[in-house]
Order: sequence, then structure tokens, then C-alpha cells
Amino acid sequence: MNQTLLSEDQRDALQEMMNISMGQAARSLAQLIDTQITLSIPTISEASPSDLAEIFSFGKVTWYARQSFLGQIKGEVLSLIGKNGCEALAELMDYDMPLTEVQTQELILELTNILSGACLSGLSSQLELKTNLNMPTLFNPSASEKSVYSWSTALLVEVTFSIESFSFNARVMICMEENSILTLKKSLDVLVG
Amino acid sequence: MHNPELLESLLRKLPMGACIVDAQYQIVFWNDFFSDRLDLQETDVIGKSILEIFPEQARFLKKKIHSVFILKNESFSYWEQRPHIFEFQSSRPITGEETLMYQNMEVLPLMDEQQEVQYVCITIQDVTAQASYYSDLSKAAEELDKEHKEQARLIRKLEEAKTQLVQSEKMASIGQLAAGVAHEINSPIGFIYSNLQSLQDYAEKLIKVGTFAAKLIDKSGEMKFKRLKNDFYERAEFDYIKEDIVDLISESLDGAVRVKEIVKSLKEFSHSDTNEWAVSDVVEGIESTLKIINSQFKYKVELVKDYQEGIPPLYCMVMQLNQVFMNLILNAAQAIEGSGHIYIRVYTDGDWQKVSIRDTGQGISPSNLSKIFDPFFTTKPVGSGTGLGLSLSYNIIKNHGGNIDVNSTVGKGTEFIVSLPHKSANEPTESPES
Ligand SMILES: Nc1ncnc2c1ncn2[C@@H]1O[C@H](COP(=O)(O)OP(=O)(O)O)[C@@H](O)[C@H]1O
Ligand SMILES: [Mg+2]
Repeated sequence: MNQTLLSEDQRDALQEMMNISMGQAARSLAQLIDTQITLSIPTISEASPSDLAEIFSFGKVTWYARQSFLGQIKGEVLSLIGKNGCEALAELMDYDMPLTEVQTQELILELTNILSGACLSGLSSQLELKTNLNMPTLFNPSASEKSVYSWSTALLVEVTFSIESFSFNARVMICMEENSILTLKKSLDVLVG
Repeated sequence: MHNPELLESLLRKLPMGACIVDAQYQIVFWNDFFSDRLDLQETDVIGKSILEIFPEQARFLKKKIHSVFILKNESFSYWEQRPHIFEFQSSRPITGEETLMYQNMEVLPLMDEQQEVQYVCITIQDVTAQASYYSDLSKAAEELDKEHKEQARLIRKLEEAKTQLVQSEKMASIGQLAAGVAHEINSPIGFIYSNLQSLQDYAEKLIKVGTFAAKLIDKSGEMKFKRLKNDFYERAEFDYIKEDIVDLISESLDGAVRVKEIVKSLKEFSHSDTNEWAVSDVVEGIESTLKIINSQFKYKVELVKDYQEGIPPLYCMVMQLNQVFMNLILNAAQAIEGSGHIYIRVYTDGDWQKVSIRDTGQGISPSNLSKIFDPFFTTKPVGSGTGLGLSLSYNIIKNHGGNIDVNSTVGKGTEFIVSLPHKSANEPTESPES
């Protein structure tokens, strides 16, 4: 059996944690933009490097950004921001419309920071693991070599925000190296008891 | 180490900007990095709103700070999107070329025990070196790309020039070949012609002799000789030969004259020194060109010529002009499907001598009209068009200080008008003494 795969119990625990932390994120976001936000229940799955090829083929409808984190667990958070609904969201976030290229970049980076911050702080606060996020950067998957990815598995957390009349889709992938996954599993086991 | 004073003095001396504000955006801490670079001491800013001190960035700072208070997570800003948040001078005031510092910003939440954000800390990192390295790098890449494109363009040009060279080489060697052939044919056709003339004279005389002899025999009254003569003349078909030989010889003479003329035109056309400026007759040039190419289209095209009388000769490179006329007339003939007309008109118009070549062919579409003088533009199938004719013609006419104009209607036909100045700029002026 693959050492890094989550057991059913571990997955359930993680799901519960994600529900809580994404709920918090949505509430904070709603407060920030002063608008009601509905959040889909986050779905959690595991992605292998070979799943990545597919995920990276959405370039037409998705922006990619990444943000590394250090601490007791290390890795990178990859966020996939759906292009649909972004403009409307930007307007709510007090961006000047229409968006220039640079403003679009700022929007993607800000959304990435908010989403991965929420995911990661959810994980780390409840598991009592310390992590620090670094600066997010834009990422063009087609320009980089797939073989350089050095992780064995990644948690894929998928959420959809619905804001008033429009919906906005975002996916967050928490990619961790093997040691960090083992640490995570241990912490989950402690939590599950 | 739990000495707050030490920690604070460290924070003041940190090689990065640190500014702490509360939920009302009021500054509660401001380190040396800020005061050194803005000439604003901490005492000047404490208790003041950061939004008032930096009014231009107020909207951006407010949004960032607010979001950290609410989301309880750090927030970032990157030099690539927002290079100069604060008007800090570059870290290289003497030697550096950047005057404004490139900055990365990070806004950190400072939380109390209840996990509520009390303050946020704005940290600024000087990334001028990194930014200038990046922009140097992308500048270099841009330059490389430019050079690469320039290279590709030059290679293309070189290839075009090569093809053009090959084409003009080909024209030149065809010219030489024609000159050689013309030279070789010239002397045999000369003696064939003069021999035929003598033969014509001799034959006339021989016929007279034969006719005279027959008459003599008839007059002599000697029936025996008369019968013998009649018999012999009949068997030899003297009456028929006497008629036919005249026709044969005059036909042959006609043929020889034609050959002589073609040879003359060939010699004219392929004159070895095609770049020679001389006073020449344009109409003569057109006529000698027509003699060479006429056979290519004489069955499908009816030529209508209209040469104004008394057109003065031009100082020109007549061999090159002939090439232009050849190109224009061949294009006209090729544009005609089935049968049609080509009208060639030579006339004067003010200071200009003009040659109009008009056809009733398929015409040129407006979108192609701007391209026909481009080298290698052709609508003809591979092998039958080089796309060089008009560009070459254009250059030749420009070298003469003239113009080529074109009018065309799709389905109706096309007219090319070559205008040449009567008085060429490089014509030698005749001295009054001579
Ligand atoms: N009299 C004409 N009628 C219609 N099209 C013409 C005529 N003369 C030139 N063209 C157009 O211009 C193009 C370029 O002519 P030219 O430079 O002589 O090259 P080429 O004859 O080898 O194609 C031709 O392919 C043709 O499409
Ligand atoms: Mg042509």
C-alpha cells in the first residue's frame, strides 16, 4: 500500500477540517467585500503527478498561481482561478474596471493568497502545525518541465464560491513532499484519536 | 532572548522597512528604513493615519490593511505589479541608474492571545537589484529576439536577391545566346538572300531564252522540229515551270527577308551593352520587341497599334525599355483568356512621352493592385510566372525618371501607362559650337 495515501478516517478528518476552515474563509471574504457568499462543500481528493497534466490543460479557462510554504510541513499551494466571474469579483473587491493586465495579475495573486491562506491556516491551526506562506507568484504550467515536480501526491481541495448572481470557481491544490505528508498523517491520527 | 528593548532596537535597525499600524490606520511604529529614506522622523508620524501620509497610495494601502485585519492572513504585493509603493530612493544613490526603489511588500497580522488582529506590520523589502537584473535580462532577451528577427529578414532578403540575380543572369545569358545565334545566322542568310536575288534574275532570263527559242522554231515552219520541240517542252512541263519558278523564288525571297529582319531585331534586342544610354526611337523599340514575341499570341490576340506621328526620339536605355514593353505586352496577352485585343498607343502629353498598353483581359482585383509591383508577386501557376516582370519594369522606368501607372477593372481589362520624360535628367547637353 502506498505510504502516502490517506486512510478513510484520515480523509474524513481532513474533510471536516476543510469544511470549517473554508467556511471561515468564506465568512471573512464576505465581510471583506461586504457581500453574501455561498460556498460549496469543499471536495477533497488526491492527485498524482500524472493527474497534473490534465489539470494544467485548462489554461483557456483558468489562471494558475503558486505559493510555497515552509514550517513543520513544507510544500506548495497551487491555485487554479477560474476566469469566469473574475471580473465581477474584482468589481466587488474595489478594483478599477476594466482590468488592465497588471491589475488582473494583482487580482489573481490576491485571490490566491486569500484562498491558500485560508486552506493552510485551517490545516495548521487545527493540526497545531506551524506553517508560513511565502509570496504568491504567477505560474505558467506550459512553460515548465513536468518532470521536475518532486512530490508524490497532492491534496486537491476544490471549492466553488457563489456570489449573488454569479458564481466563481477556484481550486486549491496543496502539494506536499513525502515527509510532510507523513507528518500530516501523524497529526491527523492524533486528531482522530 | 526576551528583552523587549533589544528586540525593538533590532526592529529599528532591520535592513527592511517595518511600519506598524492599528485598525484605524494610525501609525504606531516606524523604523529607520522608513525615516532614513523619507526624511520623516518617527515622531512626525506616530499617531497619524498612514492614509494621510501617503495619499496617493491610500486606496491601495487601505484595502491591503483592511483585508489583513479581516482575513488574519498576511498579504503580499510584488514589484512586478506595483514597483514603487513608497517613494524610496534606490539603495544605490551614487552609482545606480534606478532612482526609485523597487519594493516587495508583505503585510503581517499581529495577533493577541484571542487570535484577534491587533495591529498589522507593513514590511518593505528592497528588490531593486533583483528587479534591475530581471529587467536587464528581459531587455537582453528582447534584444536577442530583435536581432534574431533582423537576421531572418536579412536571410530572406539575401534569398530574394539571389533569385533576382539568377533571373537577371538568365536574361543576360539568353541575350548572349540570342546575339550568338543572330550572328551565326546573319552571314548565311545574307548569301542566301543575295543568291536568291541572282537566281530570280537568272530564272527570268532562262525563261526568256526558252520562250524565244520556242517562238523561233514555230516561225521556221519546220514541222518536224516543231513537233520535237512541243514534245520535249511538254514532257519537261516548261509552261508550268515557267510560271511556278517565279512564285517559288519570290516566296523564298520573302522568307529570307523575314529571317533577315528577325535576325536584325534579335541583334538589336540582345545588344550586348544593354545599359547604354543613347538617343533612340521608342516606337522602333516596340516594333522590334513585337517581332520577337508576336508569335506567342498572334492567334488569340488582335493587336491594335496607334503611334502618334513625328514622336521625337528619346535619350534612354532602349534595350531596357524593350524589356519593359516585352513584360507589359506578355502580361497583357497572358491576361486574355480565349481571344481579345491589345491596344498599343504611343503619344506625347506635355513634357512626357507615353506608352499605353491596354488589354481586354481578366483585370486585376483591387486587393492585388497594390502588390503587383512587389518582387515575386504572381498569380500565375508555378513555372509560368516569376513575379519579377513588373518589379523589374518598375525599376527600369524609375531609372529613366519616369512612372508606371495602372488602371484595371476586373472582367474588363487593364491598362498600363509608361510615362517617360522627353528631356532626361542625365542627357548630355549639346554644346552650342558643335
Ligand atoms: N495586364 C494584366 N492583367 C491582369 N493581371 C496582370 C496584368 N499584368 C500583371 N498582372 C498581375 O500582376 C502579377 C505580376 O506580374 P509580373 O510582375 O509580370 O509577374 P508574372 O507575370 O511573372 O506573374 C501577375 O501575376 C498578374 O496577376
Ligand atoms: Mg510578367
